[in-house]
Amino acid sequence: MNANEYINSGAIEAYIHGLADEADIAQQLEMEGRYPEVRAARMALEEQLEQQALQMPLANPAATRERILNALKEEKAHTTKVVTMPTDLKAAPKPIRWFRTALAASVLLLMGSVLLNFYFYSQYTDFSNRYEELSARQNVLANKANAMEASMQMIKSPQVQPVVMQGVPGNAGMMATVYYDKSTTDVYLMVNNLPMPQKGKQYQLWAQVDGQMVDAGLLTWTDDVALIKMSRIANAQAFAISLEPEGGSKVPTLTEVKVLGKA
Amino acid sequence: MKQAEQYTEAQLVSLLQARKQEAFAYLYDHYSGALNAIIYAVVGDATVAEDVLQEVFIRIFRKIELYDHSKSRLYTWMAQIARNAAIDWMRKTGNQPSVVNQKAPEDVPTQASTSFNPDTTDVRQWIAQLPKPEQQVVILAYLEGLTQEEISQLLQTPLGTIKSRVRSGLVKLRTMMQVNR
Repeated sequence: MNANEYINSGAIEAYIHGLADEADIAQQLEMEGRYPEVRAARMALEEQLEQQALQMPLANPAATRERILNALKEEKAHTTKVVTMPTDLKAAPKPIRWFRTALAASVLLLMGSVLLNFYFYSQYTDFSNRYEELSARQNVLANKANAMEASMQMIKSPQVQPVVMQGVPGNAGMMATVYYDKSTTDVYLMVNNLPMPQKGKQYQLWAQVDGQMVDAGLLTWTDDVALIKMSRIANAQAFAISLEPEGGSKVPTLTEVKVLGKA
Repeated sequence: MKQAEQYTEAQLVSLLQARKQEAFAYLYDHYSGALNAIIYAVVGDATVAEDVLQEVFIRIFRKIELYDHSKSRLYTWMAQIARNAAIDWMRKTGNQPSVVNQKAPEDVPTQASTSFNPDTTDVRQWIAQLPKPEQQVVILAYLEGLTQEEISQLLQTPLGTIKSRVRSGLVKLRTMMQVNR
């Protein structure tokens, strides 16, 4: 591939957007080394994308700036500088004979000090890692709480109609509920009781619209969220869930329909 | 409050590596809006995007020594951190980032301070205009963070075909952006 073909192939775009794999990255660097015009094209494209991005920012509230800068201050405060202990004893003045014992003792003390520094630094790193872990967990819990609150608000809305889907014959006990807002066409799904799909399978929600079954989205299995936002559907008369090959199907596999409910 | 100083990219990187607070303030004032737009394109929620933006700045703070100017511009490097952080958040919280499940642009809270520009949501709209095969792989790669190898396995399509679709999809997106600007 010559330089022009490479430039026009989209490989540079993939590299810039972080979509290139290791082989692509190696090829990009190799092409840049071999053809200055490839490097120039990459830099020009980067500059163009940056200018476009800077011209269409998505602004945040002013308080966000202070919050983030304060978080960085705290991050800096937690960063510990490791002091390098002097170890180049050859550079020291030659000790006089009677001072050798004292020097040996100093070296021992120095080694002890280095070991203690290492021990305390390890302890600090350990606590620091634990603190980060706890912070991350707290963020996850806060996000869950927010998601739960948003779900409750949505369920309470008078516009939202719950559609209970019961297990079809042969699947007694299975149950899921769709919360359907006809005015906005929003569809949310709550899994009440569905068995974990086996490997290679995935649940798919379907909506019946004017006699046709319309794909309403795949169910990503997670216990993190109570309500899962699905695709928007207008004028749904019923909902159903079927078990499909992973990645979903274009039409429902009728023998695999598990639950069904009318809107 | 905007910083009055103007730095060259080399000066800015040097100050960031020295962990100078004023350099991070400058970085926020100049780039937070652009980075926020990238995050929003993935998470589809302005409040969540704010939280992810903080994580992005912390990652930049921690990793700035790894930035290599010979491989990319600073913004390109930060943009990749932003997209990865957004995808990490979506995976951590069990959300499914897809064009279909994104909130519509009008759902963005109006308190977004100075100048919310609806154009920032164009990325998703433009992706939706791509031909289906390209649209599918660009969504999986760019918004959902799958590697090209993973997409190849998922779609049971040769890796070379996936790479071609990703590349031609990106070229078409660039053309759309140029035409529509």
